Amino acid sequence: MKVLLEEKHSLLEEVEARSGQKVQECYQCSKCSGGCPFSGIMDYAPNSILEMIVYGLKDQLLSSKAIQMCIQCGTCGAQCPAGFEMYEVMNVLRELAKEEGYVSREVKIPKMNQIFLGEVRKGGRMHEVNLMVKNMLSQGELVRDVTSLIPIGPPMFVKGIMGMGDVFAHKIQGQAQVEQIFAKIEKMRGGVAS
Amino acid sequence: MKSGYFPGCSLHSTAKNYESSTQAVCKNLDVQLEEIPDWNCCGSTPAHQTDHLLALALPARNLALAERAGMKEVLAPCAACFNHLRTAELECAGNRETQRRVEGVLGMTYGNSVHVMNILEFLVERVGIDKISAKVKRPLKGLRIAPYYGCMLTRPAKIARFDHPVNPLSMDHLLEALGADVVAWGAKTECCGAAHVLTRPDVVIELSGRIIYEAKDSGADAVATACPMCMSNLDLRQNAMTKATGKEAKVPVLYLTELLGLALGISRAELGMRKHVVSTAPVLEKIS
Repeated sequence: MKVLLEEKHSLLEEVEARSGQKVQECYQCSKCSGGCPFSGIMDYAPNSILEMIVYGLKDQLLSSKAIQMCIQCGTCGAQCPAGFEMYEVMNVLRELAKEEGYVSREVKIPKMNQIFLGEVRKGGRMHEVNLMVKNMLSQGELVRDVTSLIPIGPPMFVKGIMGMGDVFAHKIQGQAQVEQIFAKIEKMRGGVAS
Repeated sequence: MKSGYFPGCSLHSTAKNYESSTQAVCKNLDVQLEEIPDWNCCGSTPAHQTDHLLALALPARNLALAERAGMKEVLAPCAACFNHLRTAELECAGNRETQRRVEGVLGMTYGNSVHVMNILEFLVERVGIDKISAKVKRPLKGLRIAPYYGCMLTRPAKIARFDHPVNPLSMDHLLEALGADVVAWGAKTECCGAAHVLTRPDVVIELSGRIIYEAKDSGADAVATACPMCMSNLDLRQNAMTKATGKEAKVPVLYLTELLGLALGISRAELGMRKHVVSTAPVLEKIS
C-alpha cells in the first residue's frame, strides 16, 4: 500500500468539502459495516473506506469494487452514532473516480448501469425485457443467468406478470428531450456521461 | 380529492398488479389520480450510481411536466421512484445553483412547486387512517401480516423525510386499521438486495431469503410490500431460496394496496390478484 503523505490529505479535504460529511469525526465503531447489506462482498468495508480517506489511499479506493456497490439504502447512516451519511461519501468517491478516469475492479455493476441507461436514453423509459436480455448477454455468465431464469421466466408469463405487450419497447413522445439530457451531460463530462 | 400520479416503468410492466390495485384503491377512496403526461424513467439506481446531475435531471423532467400540468402533489407508488423523485425535489428546492443546472440540461423551467409522496405517506397522511377504516367492508381478521418497508420508503432519512428510518410504524397502523394481526418482526427495514439481482443473484437470494425466513419464523401468513423491486426479489426467488437453504420458503408476498383493496371489498380481478408466483390462495381463504 502506498500512503500519499505528500498530498497533505487532499483526498480527505476534497471528500469532506463535496459531501458535506465530516469524515474525520468517524470513531471507527463499525456499525456502518455491520449494517451494510453488501459489506460481505465489498473489497473494503464502509468503516475501512472512511479510514482510507483519512490516510489518502486514493488509488486503492477509487478503483475499488466497494464504491460501485452502494445503492444508497441508507442503513449505515441510520445507525451511525456520529450522525453522518455514508452514502454521500460513496457518491463523492464514485464521482471522483469518474472524473479522474479510474477503472473500477468491479465491472458488472457499471456495465449493467450502462445497459439500463442506454434503454432509458433510447426510449425514455426502462424496458425490463431488453434490460434483462442485454444484461445477460453481456455479463459473461450466460449459463448461470439462463439457469436462474428457467424457474422464473415461464411462471412470469403464465401468471401474467409479463405479457406479450411487454416484449417490445415503446418510445415516449418526449424521447428527444430525454436524449438531450443525456447528450448535454455527456458534453459537460467530456463525452463520458453514461 | 385529486392527486398527480407517477407510475414509473415497473408499474407498467412487471408490477401491473401494483398499478391496478393502486388505481382501484384510490377510486374506492374517492381519489382521482392524474398521470403525469409523457413521464420518463426516474433513472433509478443506475443513474444515481453513474452521474449526480443525470440522477437529478431525469426525475426533474417529470416534476417539471407535473408542474406544467398544474399538479401540486404527485403520488409515486414505487418506493425507488419516490426516493429518486424526492431527491430531485429536495435538491432543486434547497439550492438555486442546482436548480439552474438542472433547468439547463432539461431545457425546461422548474419552479420547485411539486411535492412527491410515497404510497404510505399518501394513504396515512393525505387520505387518513380514519377515512380508510370507515370504508373497510371485509376486515382482514385473523390474517397475520409482516409489514415490510424495505429501504427506500424511509431512508436515507434526510431524503425520505417520512416515518422512522429503521422502525417505521405507519404501515403497521394502516394494516391494524384493516383488521389484520400485524406481526412484530426484525426484518421490516432490511434491504432485499435490489438491482444487484442482475449482477449478484446469489447475494440477493441470501438477503431476500433472510427477510422471507424471518417472516415465516414470526408466524406471518403474508408479507406486505410497497416496492416492485422488493416484490420481484421476494416473490420470484423463493424457489432459489429453498434450494440454497434446504428450508422451504413459500410465504405469499402482496402489495400493500392489494391487501387494502381486499379489505375495502374490491374484487380480486380488479386488484390483479392472480399475478403472483407464490400462491396467494392461503391468504384469500383465510379472509373469505
